[in-house]
Amino acid sequence: MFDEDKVKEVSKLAMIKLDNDDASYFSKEIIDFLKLVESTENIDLSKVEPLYHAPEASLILRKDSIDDDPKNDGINSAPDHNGKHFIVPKVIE
Amino acid sequence: MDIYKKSLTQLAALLNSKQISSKELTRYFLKRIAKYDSKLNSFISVDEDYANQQADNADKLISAGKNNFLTGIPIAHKDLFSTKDIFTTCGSKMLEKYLPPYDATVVKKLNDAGMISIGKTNMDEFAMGSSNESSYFGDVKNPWNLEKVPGGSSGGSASAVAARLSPVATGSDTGGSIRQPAAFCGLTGLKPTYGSVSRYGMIAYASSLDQGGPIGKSAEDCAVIFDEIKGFDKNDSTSNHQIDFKKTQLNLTKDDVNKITIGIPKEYFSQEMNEDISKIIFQAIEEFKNLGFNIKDITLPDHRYSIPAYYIIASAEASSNLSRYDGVKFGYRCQDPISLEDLYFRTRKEGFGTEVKKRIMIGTYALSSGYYDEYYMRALKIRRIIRDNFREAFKEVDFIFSPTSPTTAFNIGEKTSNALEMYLSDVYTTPVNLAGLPAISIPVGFNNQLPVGMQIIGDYFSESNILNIANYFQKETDWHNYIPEEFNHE
Amino acid sequence: MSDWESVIGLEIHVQLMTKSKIFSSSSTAYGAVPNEQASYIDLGMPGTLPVLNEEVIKKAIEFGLAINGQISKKSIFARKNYFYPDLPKNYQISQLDLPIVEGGYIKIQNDQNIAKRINILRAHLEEDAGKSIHSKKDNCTFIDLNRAGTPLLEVVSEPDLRSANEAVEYMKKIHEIATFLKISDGNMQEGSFRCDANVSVKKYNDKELGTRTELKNINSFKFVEKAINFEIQRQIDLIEDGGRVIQETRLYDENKNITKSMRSKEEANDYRYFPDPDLLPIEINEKFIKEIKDGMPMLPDEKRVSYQEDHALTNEQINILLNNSDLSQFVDEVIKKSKIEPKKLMNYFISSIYLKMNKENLLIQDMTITPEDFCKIINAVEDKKISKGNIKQIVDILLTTKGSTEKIIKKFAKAQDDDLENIDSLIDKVISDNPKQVDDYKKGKTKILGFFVGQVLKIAKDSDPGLIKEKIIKILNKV
Repeated sequence: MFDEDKVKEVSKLAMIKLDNDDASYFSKEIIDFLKLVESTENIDLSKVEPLYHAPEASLILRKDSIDDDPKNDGINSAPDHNGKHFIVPKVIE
Repeated sequence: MDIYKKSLTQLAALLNSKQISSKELTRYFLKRIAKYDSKLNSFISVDEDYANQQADNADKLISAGKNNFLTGIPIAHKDLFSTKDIFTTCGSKMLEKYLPPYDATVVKKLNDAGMISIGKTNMDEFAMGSSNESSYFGDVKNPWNLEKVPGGSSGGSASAVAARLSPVATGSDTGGSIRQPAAFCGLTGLKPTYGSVSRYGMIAYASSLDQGGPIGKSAEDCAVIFDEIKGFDKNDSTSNHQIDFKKTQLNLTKDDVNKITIGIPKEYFSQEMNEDISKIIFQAIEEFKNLGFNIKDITLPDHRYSIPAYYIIASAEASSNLSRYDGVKFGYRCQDPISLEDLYFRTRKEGFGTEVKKRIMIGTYALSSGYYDEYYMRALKIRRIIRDNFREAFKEVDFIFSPTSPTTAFNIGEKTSNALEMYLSDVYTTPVNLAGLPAISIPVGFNNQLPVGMQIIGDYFSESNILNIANYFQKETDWHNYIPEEFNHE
Repeated sequence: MSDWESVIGLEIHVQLMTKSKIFSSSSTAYGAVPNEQASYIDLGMPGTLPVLNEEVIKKAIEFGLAINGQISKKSIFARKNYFYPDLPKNYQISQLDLPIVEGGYIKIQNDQNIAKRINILRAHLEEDAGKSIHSKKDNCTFIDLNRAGTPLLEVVSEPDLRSANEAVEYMKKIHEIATFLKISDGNMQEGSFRCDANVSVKKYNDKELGTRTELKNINSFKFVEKAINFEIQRQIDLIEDGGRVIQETRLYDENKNITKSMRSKEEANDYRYFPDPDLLPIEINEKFIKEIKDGMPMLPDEKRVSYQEDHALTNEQINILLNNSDLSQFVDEVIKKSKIEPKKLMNYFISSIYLKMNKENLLIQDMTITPEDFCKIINAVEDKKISKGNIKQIVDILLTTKGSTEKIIKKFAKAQDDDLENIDSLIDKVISDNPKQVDDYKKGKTKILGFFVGQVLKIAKDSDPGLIKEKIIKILNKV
């Protein structure tokens, strides 16, 4: 049963901060959405296998070799870094 | 010269015969953008210097006789295609100042083909939307009627091409985001078979559904772009390595046509359908019949379950794909985070818009312990059923026709407070994504002066055939040549 | 303690020894400058996608075959979703359903020295996370993503272990297999082989298992044993005092030799596993598995038996060889080519090449000495052309210069001959200088031989004592 408490729980898993207004707004929206899903409740899916990709294909593998032109400048996009490390507020362990 | 009316093939001829230079052509479109885009807001960023620089290079190649077919022709890219050192925002505050360090494969291929990247187009935030009203950079307007939406999520690309601000554009389609804006804007938009266009560099929304494709003035133009971007990419494990992607030949004959059977799903023309739209679609079908195609009734019995299944699967995948936006390595970061948790919570609260947050939460919920089977698993099973519907249908017919959307473009703001209604309008497009099939939307008429689009669905990897029959129709009809009044001059 | 039983299961993370990472072409080399081996894919930059390294699959299959496990014909990658700064995408690509290896077992010697089968539940592939460095001084955490994306094989045992000792035996066995087959370099200091232990206790009679705690990231055999022993006792004491064991994660403090509760970063997290839509299922056919099986060397256990039964090597000697398949390959070659008794041959090897390797941290592959070369040297020793002590010297020379082995041996042989001539006259001198001792010997005090040998060795220090003794006996018998 989806409700405001559930929204708060889910928002914690999703790491999105919610104000009280948000919680009630999203909970209403999501409850409405889940009504759509209810319309599928009557279908008998017991003998149906899930389909993850269509069209189905097989995985192609890559040879174990190192980039001869490695691009390691991604760190420059970071909001906080010192050129060597990414920096985040201290993790409390 | 009416350059803005010219097809890609015509522009290529002008450039090749040196009647116009790439510099002139590029400046021409940049001028149109500067003149008209304030009415539309179809572009998020335009870098004139960069465009002119590319045009210069193109002209050098053309003088030296080293040019390709598309060298020197401008193209607009939906702002979820990574463009190296050029802002790629996904229509979001989260990536407002993000500069990718690399080009998406689609972009690289078109750059290599010599095209001029003229700007990044507006879109629903992270491709989640059907009206381009959720962009951090503001709503996009429909050139046919500035109070109407252009469709979404590739609203900017559709609007720009419809107003002839760019000869062609790239878009992406997860649940209809190329086809529906193409339909709302009187354009031709192709969603290729899943796996035929590389997703590398295309910022992900729903990995098993996303596909990049062209939005253009005609099937012919779409074919040209599709030929450039299709093919296996070793950087994308989901791109197809078994199909031999041959060049598209638009060479359908009357004899061929007589052998082709088109299926009309009876469920699609039910009571819920808008009568006016229905009439226009039927007229188009009649036209196909007159051209010699065979028409047959088919059934797609479970199509109505596609919307909940689509939104569950897409939201689930998105909830995971968007976890990386956390203020640590790239993108937006909240001010003065006091702890790691604060960094995550506030960055994602402030960086994402409402629709994105909502879908992340739906997706998180659908995958969460205790709900996985009920929501996610069931959605995947429905996906198989819908795919099987099509499989059965394609045993009897070669193509399937449907309306692209149940309505024409609606008013800006009309559906923003009714998400469900917005979701339900994806009824014709989402089944195609779930099944991974290719489909095109072509303009087939007008209703209250707004374009109506019809969808042509084909079996896996039949883009060439789809483009052929769309092109055949467009050779005999005029709907795709209409241009919105306000933009129908230099 | 006597009516208590401990139940232990180990989860071992084995870092696979591939050149590049599991889903990107970044190098996996240890010790690089921070973030120098972190590509766009490793960082999870928008639009990047994983591409699977085929060597990772091969190594996983090799391991699966070595532990008698079932290789899954169809295997799937799944996303494990949680937020942490050393996890760039905030999900880890791992495996849940359909892991690459299911089932399996290895044999260890239990506490009563009887062979015991330890069952393995599964082995699955996953990508490693980066490293967080917490700085008190700067009040922040530094993140290095070099390690992010390194391929890991997580080996999960059934809770069949009954003591810390058995746990260590099991861990050593897995380590031996992984390193011998070159699946991993097994370097625990560098984090290539990490162990988590699940520990619980129960009374022997109880059918139900006790609540278990997880001991995390213990990186040496010694500490595994200590940590588990501490934890077993802690749990027993707790229960006997009327308390209850809480299911939690605990860290081992090696300085204080205690385990302490960790405020887990993954506190009761719902990982929301689902198949990764950026990857397709891996399909493995019989042919591929057979190819890999055919290319695999003999497994350590079989090799051990072979060394024991065919060559009568001692356990110590065997352990040295099983620790390094390149070494065993080298020695196998030498054994094949030489008529010398393998145990003796091995001793020659240990006191020369092996010693040098350890002293100077060299790999056998880097040493410019072939099994043929070594064979020639030790054969010359057996033929008494050169002495035992010469082996080390010749090896040193061969490693530093480009000389021909025969030539160098000849040189030493000549030197020995020269020495021998000198030795003969030296022996004569020693004998004539010590008539009293000669008398003692003649009277039957054979132990006085040692004195004569000693006197000769004082001057001819490098000579072969055995040879000298022989000569002295000969001469004394003539006198």
